[in-house]
Amino acid sequence: MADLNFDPIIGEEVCVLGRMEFFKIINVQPSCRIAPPNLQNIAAGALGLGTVDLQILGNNTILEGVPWALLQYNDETRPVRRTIEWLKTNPDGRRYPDYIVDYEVETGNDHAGNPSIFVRFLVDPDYFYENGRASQEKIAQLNEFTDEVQQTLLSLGLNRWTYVRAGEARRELDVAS
Amino acid sequence: MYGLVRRGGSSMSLAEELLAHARFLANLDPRTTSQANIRRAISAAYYAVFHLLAAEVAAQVSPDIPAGLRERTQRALDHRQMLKVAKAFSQAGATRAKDLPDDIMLPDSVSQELASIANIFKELQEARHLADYDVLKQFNPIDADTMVQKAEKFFKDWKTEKGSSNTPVFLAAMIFGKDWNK
Repeated sequence: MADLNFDPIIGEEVCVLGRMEFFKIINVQPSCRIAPPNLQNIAAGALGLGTVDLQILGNNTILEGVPWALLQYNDETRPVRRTIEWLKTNPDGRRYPDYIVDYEVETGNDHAGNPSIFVRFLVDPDYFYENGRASQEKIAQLNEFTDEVQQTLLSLGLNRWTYVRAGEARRELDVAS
Repeated sequence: MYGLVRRGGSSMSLAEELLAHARFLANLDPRTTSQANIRRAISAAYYAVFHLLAAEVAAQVSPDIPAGLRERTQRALDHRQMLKVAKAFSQAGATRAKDLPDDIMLPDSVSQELASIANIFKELQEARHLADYDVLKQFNPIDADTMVQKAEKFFKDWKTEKGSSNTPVFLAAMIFGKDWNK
């Protein structure tokens, strides 16, 4: 996981410590240091590494050279989304399955009231069905993948519980329409 | 064998029967199966692993004489407490279980199998709740297949993990953990 980073990226919406406004990142001066997720708001900026240029949402005011240490990310799913995007690059010899057509990440409480993050990988059902039956071997591969994602997310030390599961993409869309 | 031998003609434990029932429901033809079948498959998969653990906890903390004492002990288990413990043991390689008192030490780091057991329990309990109560949610056959296979993996991993040095802590926390900080 050495190349997994949580550096700010252009387009992200953030707050800045001590300011009331919401901002969009319009430029990133890269850091030479990879911040672990639990230090993502501290490490780089605290060491004087990495700044961003920000634009206030709703007007054209620009704030230049804001240290990463001052950024606050409102989206609690951010580390999860970034991790999944990282997994999509097939890092460390891992393989992001081709049959996953999309994913969803949502925050909420689980049934016991624990603040949680729910990850749902939407899969192409055609991959799984052979002669009208789901291939148990392929289901096992899918479960292995979601287990691996679960362990990766646990290693981030998030404050929310994580639930990782899969669902059929096409049928979900059929239901939605 | 996990738990009572049933009198309905099967020599399987209740946990094993529930797992077989979940598999039966998940194996129904996906083209004609119903929401009820899928939901019951997920629910049975959860209760299979619940009853496996419940029987193991009771076997650890309660004698089996007089008859019925051990089975009665299983009734003391609380799903939410079990969920908390599952969360505490869900990270493979961890050297201590989160939220347990500091003086409760783990003899070994959490194995892949125990972490898998813990995560599957957590996932299945949440899925069971959705399957039983969330009438807005539309389930599909792959939901049943993935969850039943998770339960099957749970049984397999339990066979490996059962004799490990961490298991007594894991099982004791399931029933007593909520009172350990009194």
